[in-house]
Amino acid sequence: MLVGVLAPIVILLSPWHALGLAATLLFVLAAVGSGVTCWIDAGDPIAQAVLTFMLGLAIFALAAVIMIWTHEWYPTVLLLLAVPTVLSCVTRLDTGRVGRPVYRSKK
Amino acid sequence: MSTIEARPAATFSASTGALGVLAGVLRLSPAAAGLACWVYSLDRLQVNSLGLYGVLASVDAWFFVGLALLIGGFAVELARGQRQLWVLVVYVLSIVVVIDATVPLLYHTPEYQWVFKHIGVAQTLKVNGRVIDPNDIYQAWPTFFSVVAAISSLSGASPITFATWAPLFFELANCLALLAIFRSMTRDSRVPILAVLLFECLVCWVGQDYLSPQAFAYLLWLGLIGVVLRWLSGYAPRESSPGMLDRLRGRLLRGFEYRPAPERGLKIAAVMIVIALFFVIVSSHQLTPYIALAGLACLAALGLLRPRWLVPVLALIAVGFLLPRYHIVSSQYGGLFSGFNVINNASAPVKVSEPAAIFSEHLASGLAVMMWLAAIALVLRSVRSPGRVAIPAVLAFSPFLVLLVQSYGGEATYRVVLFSAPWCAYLIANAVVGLRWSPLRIAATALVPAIVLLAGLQALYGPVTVNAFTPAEINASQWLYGHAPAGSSFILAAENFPVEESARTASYSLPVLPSDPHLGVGEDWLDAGDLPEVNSWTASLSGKEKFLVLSRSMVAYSSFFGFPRDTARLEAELPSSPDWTLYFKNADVTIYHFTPVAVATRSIPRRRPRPTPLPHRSPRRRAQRRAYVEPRISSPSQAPAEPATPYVPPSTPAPAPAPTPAPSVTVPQAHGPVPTVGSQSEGEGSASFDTSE
Repeated sequence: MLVGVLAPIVILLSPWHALGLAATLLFVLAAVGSGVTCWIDAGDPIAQAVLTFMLGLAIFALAAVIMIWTHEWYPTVLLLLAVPTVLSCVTRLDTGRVGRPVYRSKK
Repeated sequence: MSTIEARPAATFSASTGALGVLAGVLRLSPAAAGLACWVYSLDRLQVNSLGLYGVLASVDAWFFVGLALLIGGFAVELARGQRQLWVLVVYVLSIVVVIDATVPLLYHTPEYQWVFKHIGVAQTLKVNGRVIDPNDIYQAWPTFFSVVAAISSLSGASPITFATWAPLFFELANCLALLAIFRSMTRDSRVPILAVLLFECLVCWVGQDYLSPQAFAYLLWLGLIGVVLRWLSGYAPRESSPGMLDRLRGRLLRGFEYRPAPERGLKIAAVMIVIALFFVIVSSHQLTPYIALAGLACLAALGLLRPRWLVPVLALIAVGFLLPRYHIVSSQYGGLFSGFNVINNASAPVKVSEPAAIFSEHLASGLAVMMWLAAIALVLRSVRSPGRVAIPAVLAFSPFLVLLVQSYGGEATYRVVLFSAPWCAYLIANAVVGLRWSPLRIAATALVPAIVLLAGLQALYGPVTVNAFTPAEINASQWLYGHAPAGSSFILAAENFPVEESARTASYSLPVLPSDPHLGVGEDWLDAGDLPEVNSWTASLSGKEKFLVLSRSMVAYSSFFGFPRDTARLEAELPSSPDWTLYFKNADVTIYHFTPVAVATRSIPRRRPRPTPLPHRSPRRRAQRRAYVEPRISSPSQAPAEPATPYVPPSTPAPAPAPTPAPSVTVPQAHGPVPTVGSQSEGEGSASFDTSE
């Protein structure tokens, strides 16, 4: 969630391409997918991390290609993926507090 | 052997306190020393000294000492009773860094000519914001290129920058994904990490991890298989009266350890994730969805994939996406089913003749054959309880189904190796870990990866002088795109130069001098050393202006593969020819502008083709490039009359008089960076090659 908030800021303000690239990769691989995986317990931290970056990559790719197909190419808008991600994570934290179940692998 | 469970039993050391971390760091000292040796050996290596046998033949002993320390340290750590996962992961990642960062550190540029085409497609989408040519096979599957364009736009970095490091990124990501997959397949904590290392050693030669849709789709395929194996596979079927098919399945799955089904919500989420990942794969790459489908269909047929309707749904997505674009595939590969000749589909389209190329090819094919033989032997060993190896066996051999129907322009074999390798590596790792005599097990843990890695690295690094390009070559290419008028022809003396990286690629044609009998020119190949013939052929081209490009990588290409010959003679004759004007020169590239004085176009006498065809890492690209080669004229009347007006570079203040423009009109650069001249587009033509937007 923190990455979802900070990475877009760094991307927008970064004066260096290398920093911008690192922030973009971090945003895609670590932030975007966490909006989904915060609801899923994979039962293995490595599997959880892999699922997060796979989903991030897939969601980012789908958003990017839809822009291309619809001729509405505004790459900066992709940073708005942070909004549902953060909302999802905040909601998850909230539901976690009141003890609602999340999807988890059977142990 | 292959037991599926919801969560692997953690048998790694749980000592994560400060003392444990300190002990882990100490156990990493061989890795640190190994990396230091590797960096030191690369620092001592001169790129110019690399020969036809590549990096391994030119590095000093420190390179091998580094590899030995890394693999030895890994084997020792794996043999320890109190092994720590993160320490082993660091070892494996260090070995991956050695494999995939060596060439980028030596050359600082992306490897492989066809990567530049991918960069060009991404640049096209980025600049135009839409698909320009729906009949272009790259733009018809645009998802990966959209991702590259978006990352480039957001970060401000040019795709060339991150294309250099794409192999390292993809392999590190593949390692992580495979580790997660293997951990869901076994209780033994040693098998997953050893299998990951073996996978990296087995596939390092394949070289399909460059910035490309297939590398992207492969990574997503690993994610998809990971979700399937963790949540949608391996749980017991519903009780029902067994039919004949069920009895057969029962025999094939004897010894299989079922696990409890996941809760419904998780199952639904997993199905949705699989569908989403599959759609991204389908819209990124042409072949990967069908290899994925083959594996999933085999799992479903064995009753190891639930829900069973998932496979038809995925097939519907794949076919639904393909149908509107089928004419593109049809024209490129002769349709979805290019023939049911497995041998033909599996064989490389061309043969090699030069010793260095033969050596690399033999190593690569030997590795692939040994991998499959070992996997077959290990599957046969479990014949009494085949269920124990059912999942890896199915996934290891289902990719062969693709060979039944498609050659994929000669690339299908590479894809089969790549998709088969994780499961073969898993089977081999299981066998190595299962060795009962401890010294033999430790020795096998070190020696099997070491031998496989050395063979794979030789196959990977052997043609490095051909596959890698220098910054000067990329400079020259960008300069050409920045200055040559639209509609020009860039004639390549050999088909190995970093071109098509520009968004304006479509405005130029890229004929290749037909002096290579493997270019599909049949018997009409041209003697590159015969300047009048070259002039005549050039005059027959229809481009607005014509530029002939000669480069270091082309010389390396012809040395490695044996063709085209006589390029050196052509290079020697061009400076004194009145029909060619020096247009550009830097350390590694010379570009001549065709300024014909009195060249009569004429038909070229036919020659017998030399018998040895040429190998190519990507015959698909070769086939596409072939379309750009201008047709050879058969009579002077067919030749379009080209005005003999020399082209004047935009920076030149006054037009140079014809017919023999002085070299001063051109922008010759003996050595050093290329000057920025005239207006630039998308940052091209900068002094150091375009790394920013």
